[in-house]
Amino acid sequence: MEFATKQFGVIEIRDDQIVTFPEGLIGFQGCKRFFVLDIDDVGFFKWLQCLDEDYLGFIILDPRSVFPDYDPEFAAKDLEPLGASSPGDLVMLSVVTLPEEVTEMTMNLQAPLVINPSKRLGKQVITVSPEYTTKHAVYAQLQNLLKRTG
Amino acid sequence: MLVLSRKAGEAILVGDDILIRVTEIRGRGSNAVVKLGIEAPPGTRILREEVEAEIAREMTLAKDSVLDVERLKREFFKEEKSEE
Repeated sequence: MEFATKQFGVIEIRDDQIVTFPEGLIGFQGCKRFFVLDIDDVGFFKWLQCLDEDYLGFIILDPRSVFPDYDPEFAAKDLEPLGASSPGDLVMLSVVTLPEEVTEMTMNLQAPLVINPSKRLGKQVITVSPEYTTKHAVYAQLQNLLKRTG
Repeated sequence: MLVLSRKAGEAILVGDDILIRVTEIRGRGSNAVVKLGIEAPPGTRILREEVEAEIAREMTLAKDSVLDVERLKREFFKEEKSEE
């Protein structure tokens, strides 16, 4: 199918690239079907486009690429709907908040998006680990990381 | 909503496997703080009520993020650029 986005024009999406979040996202319960878009030139950042609403999308990052020790614990019942046979089958993505000032960029480590790629099912799960919040500063970490790998 | 009165040390049972005990009551009136001990099966999510609202608020801020690819490129990938 073709889908018109606000930021990236018309994108071509195959059905097998659509991830369904049966419960939507927290605060956006109506948004259930998503597509992860790679962004040219800033490969680190990806764009999570909601397919139920043209103009809704989120900047996302692999949390472990920035915080390698990130290891949130989840309530087992929260992961059940994803139908994974082991936690290793699951992939996590974190939502980025990017205000006007880039240096104030933060990442939400308290409620990552947990995805089972083989079933293309996702859920935004609130971790029970108390050390993670909705606002982890990420600018300096990213700068260092890209300096090392770049 | 079912409302029950409990003294410090007393508990209530929810279903077959959840117990909530008032372990401490501090202060008076609107400053009173109640400490609760909760026993529940592993795998049960227990959260302060305000946490979900806070996450929803953050998601709204995230949604309003300005994704300026050029700006991100400048900020994070400029060295790479100059080497090309």
